[in-house]
Amino acid sequence: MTAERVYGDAGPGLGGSILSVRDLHAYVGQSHILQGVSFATRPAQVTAILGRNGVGKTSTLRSVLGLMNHTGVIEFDGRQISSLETHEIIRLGLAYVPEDRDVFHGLTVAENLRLAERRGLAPDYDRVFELFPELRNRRGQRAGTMSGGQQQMLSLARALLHDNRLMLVDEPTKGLAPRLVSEFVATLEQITAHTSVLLVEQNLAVARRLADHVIVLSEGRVVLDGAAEDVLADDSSIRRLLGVAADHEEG
Amino acid sequence: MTRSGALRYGAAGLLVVVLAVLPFVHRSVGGLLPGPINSPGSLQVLALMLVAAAAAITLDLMFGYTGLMSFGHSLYVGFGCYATVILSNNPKLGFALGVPLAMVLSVVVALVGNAAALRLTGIGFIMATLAMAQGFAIAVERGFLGSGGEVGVTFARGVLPDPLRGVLNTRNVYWLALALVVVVYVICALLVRTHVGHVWQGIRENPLRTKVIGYNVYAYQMAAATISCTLAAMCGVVFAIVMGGANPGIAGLHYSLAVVLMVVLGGRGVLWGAALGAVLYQFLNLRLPSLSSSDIVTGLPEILQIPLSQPNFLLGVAFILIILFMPGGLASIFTRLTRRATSKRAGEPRDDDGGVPATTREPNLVS
Amino acid sequence: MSTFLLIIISGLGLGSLYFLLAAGLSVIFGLMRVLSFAHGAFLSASGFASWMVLRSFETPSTPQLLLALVVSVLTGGAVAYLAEVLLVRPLKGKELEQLLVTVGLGMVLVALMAGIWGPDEHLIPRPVWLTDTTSIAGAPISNSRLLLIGLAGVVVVGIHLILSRTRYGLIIRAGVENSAMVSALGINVKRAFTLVFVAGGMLAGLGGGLAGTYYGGISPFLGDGMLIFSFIVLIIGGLGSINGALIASVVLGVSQSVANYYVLNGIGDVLVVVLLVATLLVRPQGLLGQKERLI
Repeated sequence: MTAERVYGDAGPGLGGSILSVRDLHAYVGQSHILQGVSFATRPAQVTAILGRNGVGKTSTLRSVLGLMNHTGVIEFDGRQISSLETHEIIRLGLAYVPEDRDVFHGLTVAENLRLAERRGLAPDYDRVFELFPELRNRRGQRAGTMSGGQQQMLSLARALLHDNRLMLVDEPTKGLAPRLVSEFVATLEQITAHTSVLLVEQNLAVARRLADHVIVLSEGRVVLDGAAEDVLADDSSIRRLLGVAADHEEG
Repeated sequence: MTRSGALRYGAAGLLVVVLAVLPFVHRSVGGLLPGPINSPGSLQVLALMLVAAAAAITLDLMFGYTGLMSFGHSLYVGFGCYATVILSNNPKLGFALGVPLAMVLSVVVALVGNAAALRLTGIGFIMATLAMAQGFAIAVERGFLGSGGEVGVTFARGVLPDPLRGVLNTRNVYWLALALVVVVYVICALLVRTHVGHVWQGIRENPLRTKVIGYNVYAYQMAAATISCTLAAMCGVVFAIVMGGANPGIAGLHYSLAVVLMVVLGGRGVLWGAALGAVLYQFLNLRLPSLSSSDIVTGLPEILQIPLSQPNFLLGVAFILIILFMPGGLASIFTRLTRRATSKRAGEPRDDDGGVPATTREPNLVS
Repeated sequence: MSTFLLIIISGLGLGSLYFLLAAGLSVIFGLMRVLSFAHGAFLSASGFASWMVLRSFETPSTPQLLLALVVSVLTGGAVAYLAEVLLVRPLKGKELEQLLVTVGLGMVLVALMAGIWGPDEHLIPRPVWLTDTTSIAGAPISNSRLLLIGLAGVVVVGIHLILSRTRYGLIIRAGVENSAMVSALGINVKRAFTLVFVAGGMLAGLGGGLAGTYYGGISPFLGDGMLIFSFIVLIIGGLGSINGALIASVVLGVSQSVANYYVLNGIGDVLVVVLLVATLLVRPQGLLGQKERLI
């Protein structure tokens, strides 16, 4: 367990990190959800945030995107982004694939994609439809009438319309049938080959396959931070931290 | 009882005593009141201020403490007021039966109205309360159910008991209004300190969490709203006695908004703050028109005269400024001062009804 | 029969006025979660703007009437713009405070108008053809009503085209579902907020200009009276739903007129509230509203 580091160690001086977060605090109502989260991601790598439900994984992503009130330092590519508005942050080259898809149900697939087009940039529809041929056929369908898996495709497709420096992906396999999970993981592997990804994941098997770097949160703090093979090596302690049973990984 | 608690009870008691002896004070206070303090005109203005204070306290119970923003409080004040007059004027009932019957009906209206409005939450609740109150206002303006239309109804001759009738007895009416404030305040202040009151405040902060803990949020909201609206109807009864009748002015949206304004101005979630806001509001509203015809104002250029002669302009501006810059209302000035004073003494419990903002919600809609 | 048609048309006219206010309020609420109490005052202010244009003419010509309508639309938009930037935007994320600040603004504007022009109604001169009637199936229908209904129809079509065909329409429809997610796609939702608030102000402005010609006069309190019915339209139609607002406007306007004429004058207004309470009890989210939206 050489890779295990104590919370707060991921300070400045991490050369080449694309996103670095230092001493992030956030509240939801009265509860202190994030209590000084610090970490950094590396370019062209998948950083997975793991942890039990409610430890602040999604809040971390949402704070990075300015969707949630927070304090602390968030730097993207060496630039302080805490004070920027969400759309300004996104335009720096980030994409967000939210938890529970969050596609616009009343809009068609084509409209959902059109909304994700960014001004002044050419959208890459070919790549999107190559990855998800099904979406091409369903362009005129209302997103709300599609299955969960199809909505997840659309949600990912939205983020892949443009090249991004960093993708924030929140539980992409949650609630999907096992067969779909492996399909999605294969697709994600393709994507992560050339884009940095900050991934929130509950499914340990998915994390094992995708992550290069793992951060484990517990009660609003980083408790483990290191290379995936090191952090995930000690099976029993990671299971204890994530609160998962052995059979959970079979999926 | 803590020292600051004792101090507060003492100050409140002193205030009530001072207010109670006002009818014996024969002093002029410049143009602030229509005449000397104990003149009938002045006492009526003061009584109306007290009734407004009581009405504001009742709204604060549901808005400031339970997070139920009602824009239809005029329905209940107005119903209490009209029912009192109309029922008392019925020869078979008279005042002695008319008032209790009006209160019973008010409870029914409060139950039904809130049961319907609480089908919605948040802004939906606001609009439902507003619209139902408007239905009542329209009915009253059109003169349905013997409400007299635009002129309203007055107590018939000999209906009001002698001690409450006539110019000479205005001081009795004033005392009645004072008693109303005291009763309403004491009831509300006791309620918010009980376990139920704490659940209400939990609902205000976070209805979902309160529900998850295992409380029946709807039932608690129903209780708060029904008590609040019933007490509001009681304010309507006293209003009828003070005014000698009922008029549509108390039933419309304008009055509902006025009560909301009083509470926000004074400080939501602080009962005495709501009362303070109401006193200020009612004073400006009743006295500004005559104050603005004084020499000081008429000497001003027209561009200043117009706004200064419109109470709603000044009140509206004050209201906007309070919302933008002082969400705790006027009461927050005092609570901040007393907190600074008491914070030096370590270990003392903090003022439990200090100016807490009514909503602490997340900025965005994503769950 | 011709009387019945007359009553129906007059109800449609009333519904058109409600719709002009309610359509703006509905989109504003859907996107920004702000319920504006100030738009009634915007309507009145715009009515006064058109009165200022028209009062100097004894019988204005049609171009002068159009000018007055343009001025009232612009007035509504300008006042709404200032309100959004100065009062609503600084309170972003605080729904209740935003609502209250519009209440305050409405009070201030109405008080100002009452202070400047007095509380009474001012007559608005109209072109001759507007005071005439057109015979439709034997019923003499007032031209001002037809103008109102016609323009409201144009607004309905226009709103639908904007929502379905333009990028801003897309942003608004998506934002009504989830404005945070729209900004997470790199879109400046704040600009859409301002746009929608101003568009709502312009619709209120049009309503003000038309209400003036419809009623033949304008008072500081005209808008607030209509605002209440527009709120009822919003609840019955479903908060945030334009189509719901359209249906509810028509239903309300027509049933109000029919009841007022055939049953008892004034009862139609009460009927509207009865419809409202019935909606709340049977279907609290309104005709076309979505259930989770209010929770």
